[in-house]
Amino acid sequence: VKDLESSLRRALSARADLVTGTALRPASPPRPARRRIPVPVLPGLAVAAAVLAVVVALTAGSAGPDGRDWVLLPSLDPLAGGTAVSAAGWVGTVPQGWSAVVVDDVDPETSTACLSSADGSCRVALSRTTSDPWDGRGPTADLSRGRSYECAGRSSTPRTLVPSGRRGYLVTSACTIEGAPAELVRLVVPQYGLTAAAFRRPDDPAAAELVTALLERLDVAPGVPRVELEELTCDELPELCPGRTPRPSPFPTS
Amino acid sequence: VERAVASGRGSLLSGWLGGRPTTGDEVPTFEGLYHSHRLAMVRLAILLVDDQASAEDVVQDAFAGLHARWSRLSDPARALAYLRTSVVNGSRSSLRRRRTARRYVPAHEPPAEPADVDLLLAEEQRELLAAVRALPERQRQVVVLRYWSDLTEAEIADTLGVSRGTVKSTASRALDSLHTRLEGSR
Repeated sequence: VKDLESSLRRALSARADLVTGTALRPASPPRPARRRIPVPVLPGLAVAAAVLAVVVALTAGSAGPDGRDWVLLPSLDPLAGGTAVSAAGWVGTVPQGWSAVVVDDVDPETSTACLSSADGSCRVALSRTTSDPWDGRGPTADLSRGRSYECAGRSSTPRTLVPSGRRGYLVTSACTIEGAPAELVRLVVPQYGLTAAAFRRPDDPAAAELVTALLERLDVAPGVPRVELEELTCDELPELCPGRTPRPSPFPTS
Repeated sequence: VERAVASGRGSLLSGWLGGRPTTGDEVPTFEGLYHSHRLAMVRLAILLVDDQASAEDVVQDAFAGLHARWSRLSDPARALAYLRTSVVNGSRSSLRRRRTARRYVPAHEPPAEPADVDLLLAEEQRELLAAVRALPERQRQVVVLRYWSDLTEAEIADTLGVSRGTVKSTASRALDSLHTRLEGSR
């Protein structure tokens, strides 16, 4: 018995010790897009409203209509090597070579993490299931870790809480998600030193809505063009402020 | 002991949460717990679910659950025990999900173990690990918690929510089973 116990300890240790690192794996190479549709001009105010709502939810940790929070722990650094936590259940370490991490709960059953590289490109790097049980339908297995996943699906409802006094600067960039064009909108919240960004998928009208959000510290991606388009305040968008009538979602819903 | 501390294994050996000796008044933090014990938890999970992707997902779930409950923890010093229980339970759910998936869509099975894993293990170890994998789920949990996590019978009982007597008898049956299986293969 003693021999067996000793052998067990050695064998289990040998197997466990093969796991030497658990950083997120980069996504597999993107598949060619099935179709490409030119990126339309951003409806500035609509996107601004949604982005502003997202960043407010991120920074304020306010619960959305479905009761889920967007949370990035302020004490956890989302830069490379840091840690990010999403309320939907994603916890991960940002791998070296990536400047930021995107966490999102685009669907009640999935949590998607997207990464943004310093050159401004972005890609979905990881997604995972969070709910149980699996009903035997759908692409659940395709959402396993390390596989590419399109940032599509039921969008988080744009948040409607914008604390008074917060301001932001919208900037735009472009990126692709799985080879398809996507729009990246950034919103800087000066007093927090944070940038939020949101992607939308113009190639799919039903999913042409904000599908994920990114939180990063300022100046971590010097290669990303930042074009200030507009400064927003609560007074400029009163319908998004607490106590006011929420603005209907500017994006089509299926 | 040093090996156990270095690997983040063992609740009594590694201090409160961070793999450091406790001074008695340190307050564990979620971040400290994450950085100090994530790898060890992934290693624990991989011994229960076999593949690293599933193990990492199980651990993510465990940390996310802990994060959601962090402010309500009555005794933060027990966070590691809570986390370990979550990993064990999550591993069990993962295996159950996998069995269900296999029934419907074989192609959706998680990726197989990389070939180099086998190459890096001695033949005896491969044989023994295969025998451990063939154990009933509860026996496998007890074996891993006892011989890899170095937990006491009381700690294993606490983790699995069973009595110490059950832990003892389960471990005994597991060893008998392993012995029989290994003898039969020689």
